[in-house]
Amino acid sequence: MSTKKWMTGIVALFIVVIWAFTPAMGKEKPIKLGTLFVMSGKLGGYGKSGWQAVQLAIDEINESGGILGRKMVAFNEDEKAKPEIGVQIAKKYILKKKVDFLLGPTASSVGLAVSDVCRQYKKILIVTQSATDVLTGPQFHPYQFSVLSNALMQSRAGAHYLAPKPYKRWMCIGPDYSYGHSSWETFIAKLKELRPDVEVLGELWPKLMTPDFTPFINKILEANPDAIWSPLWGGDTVTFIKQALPFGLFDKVKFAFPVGASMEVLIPVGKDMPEGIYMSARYFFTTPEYGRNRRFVKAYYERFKEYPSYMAEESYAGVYFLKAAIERAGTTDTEAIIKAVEREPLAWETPEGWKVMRKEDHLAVEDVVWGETVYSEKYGFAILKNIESIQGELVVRTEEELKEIRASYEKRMKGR
Amino acid sequence: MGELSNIVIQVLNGITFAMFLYLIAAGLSIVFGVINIVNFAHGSLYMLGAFFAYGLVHKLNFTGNFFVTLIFAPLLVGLVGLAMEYVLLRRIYKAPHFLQLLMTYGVILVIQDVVKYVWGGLGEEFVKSVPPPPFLSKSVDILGHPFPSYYLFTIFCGFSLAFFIWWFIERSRWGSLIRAAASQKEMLNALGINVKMIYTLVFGLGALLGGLGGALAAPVRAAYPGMGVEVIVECFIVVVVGGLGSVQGALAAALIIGQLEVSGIMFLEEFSMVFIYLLMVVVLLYKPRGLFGKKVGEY
Repeated sequence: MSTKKWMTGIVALFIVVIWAFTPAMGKEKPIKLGTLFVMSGKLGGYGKSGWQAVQLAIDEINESGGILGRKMVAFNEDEKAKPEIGVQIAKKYILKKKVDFLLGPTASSVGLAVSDVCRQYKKILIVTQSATDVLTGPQFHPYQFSVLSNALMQSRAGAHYLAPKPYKRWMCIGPDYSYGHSSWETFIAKLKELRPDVEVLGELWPKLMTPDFTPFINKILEANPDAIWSPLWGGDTVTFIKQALPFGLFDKVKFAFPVGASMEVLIPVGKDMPEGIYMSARYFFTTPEYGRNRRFVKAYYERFKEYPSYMAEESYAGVYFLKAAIERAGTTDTEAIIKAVEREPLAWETPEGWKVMRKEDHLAVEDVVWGETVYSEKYGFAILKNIESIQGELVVRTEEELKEIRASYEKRMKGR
Repeated sequence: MGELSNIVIQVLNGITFAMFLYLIAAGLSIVFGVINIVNFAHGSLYMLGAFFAYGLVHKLNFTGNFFVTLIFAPLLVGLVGLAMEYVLLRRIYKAPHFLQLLMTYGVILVIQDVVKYVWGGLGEEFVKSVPPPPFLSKSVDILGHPFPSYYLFTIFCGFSLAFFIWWFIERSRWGSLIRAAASQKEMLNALGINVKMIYTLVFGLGALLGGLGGALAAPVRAAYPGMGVEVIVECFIVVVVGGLGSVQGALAAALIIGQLEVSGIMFLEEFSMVFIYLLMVVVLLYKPRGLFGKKVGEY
């Protein structure tokens, strides 16, 4: 008799507890995330991947109980790769929609502009696509966290990867704007440091989205270098490879594409991709082979019927970084989160492994993957083989560089 | 010897480049010469040609025969052109030029979105690659240098078409009707010939040429939204330099600009863009109607 009473009591208590907590989750205001990506034009694929990944991450988080018991919602708008539009969207998010956090920018120019808005309004921006290292360097401020391997890391990792290989006479062909030039300058500086016997035969700078690379291909054939650093990306890489193929260029010269291993290149080039081109990506879906990555690729593929590109993975990782940071701080308050992350480096799990957010420049330290192309029957496009990970610690800014960045930030802020 | 063979290869490169420019610019020029409309959307028709080629090769399994694609893709674009003229443009022939510009600009946006809707679909491959036919995918040896055989094919197609267009307009009965429609519209009407229909057909022909440029360029340049906007500026330069409405002028101008572009990149890369605009400035200053230009209405 008394056991039955006890049982009833426990069950009643249980129900009360569940009742008390579940509606609380519903009643509490959701955490609002405002994302901006390029959704249109030749770069539209990047934004599409990013936004899909954000939705996937948010649904997963909400299904497993949200963050601190609060649900997450996200809005997305097309920044169109135009800084003034990015600024407009960011201000609308902050002032009208009252978002708690911002995430994204695809274009580097938009990244810089939006980051500045976030500094003024003291809102946290999670950088998941803009690759410029100016964000975490000369324009550093604490209201942003970059979760991707940026241009500086790609170039330095390339130098570490390629220095032991037998190529001495180098050339560059890249898009004629700031990213192309800075990618090459960082790369060749590091390469010369690691291997002083390197020679530079020349630099070629076709304008972005050149329809015809043939004259440049002829110039390369004439100069006959051992290897080429090529920060061409997206559609430009596709046209370049297609046009260079009949010239047999890839049999004569070794190529290294620091952002080549993206779905936007591999799928359209398909079977035509020559074997053994060096390519890198911020993330490649076949690696690493472990549960977290396999679950992500499977969930992403089942929902969107495509393999996640690096733009997808980094944005997905960005949402999970936010979760980890909020949970450590125990609140969504901006200053509290910055303090909590800066207390000690914050490690969180992503499909490409554990990333560590550094307190000094708010940049995620992560390994950079390089490999060689090989056509895969299974996927119908080329994937990477002989993958090598270049350690994050080797390629991020050094301690001296970091000190300089923090000092210059303090100085800039005093000047205001 | 090495020097000479380099120059030969370079000239051939320039000619290849010129052929693409010519095929696109010729349609633009004919449409302007006869109907007196500046079709901003011509670049989009070029893009459609490339995407139709992709669609025919990949989706409808025309894989076996590239040449079938090369005929059908432009014909489809021609049909789009006919529809565009019939539904939209013929309503604004009498409107001021800037309204025509606005309308053709609107067409650019529509075509752009349709392409994205149909081919953008799933997967982020916004760039679609079209394989060249296997026997044209290698290169031939010219004075010790490899030269893509597809480029030779392009040069052949370009010159054959140039000849055909010249014959069609200057020598055939249809050509004389078209020329008459440009200069003697009222007379032609009085003779009981349907000038409106001729306009529609000419516009369709212009679109077909643009589409052919696209289909022919697809194996070299791939197909992607935005490719039309990239070429349209250079094509306008070709048309202006060659003389508005002159098809032979377009050929000459394309050949000059092709060489300028290629040798500019070879010798003075930083300034390669400047030469083309410089050429346009010089031509406009000394021969404002272009190299082969005629007075408006005198086709």
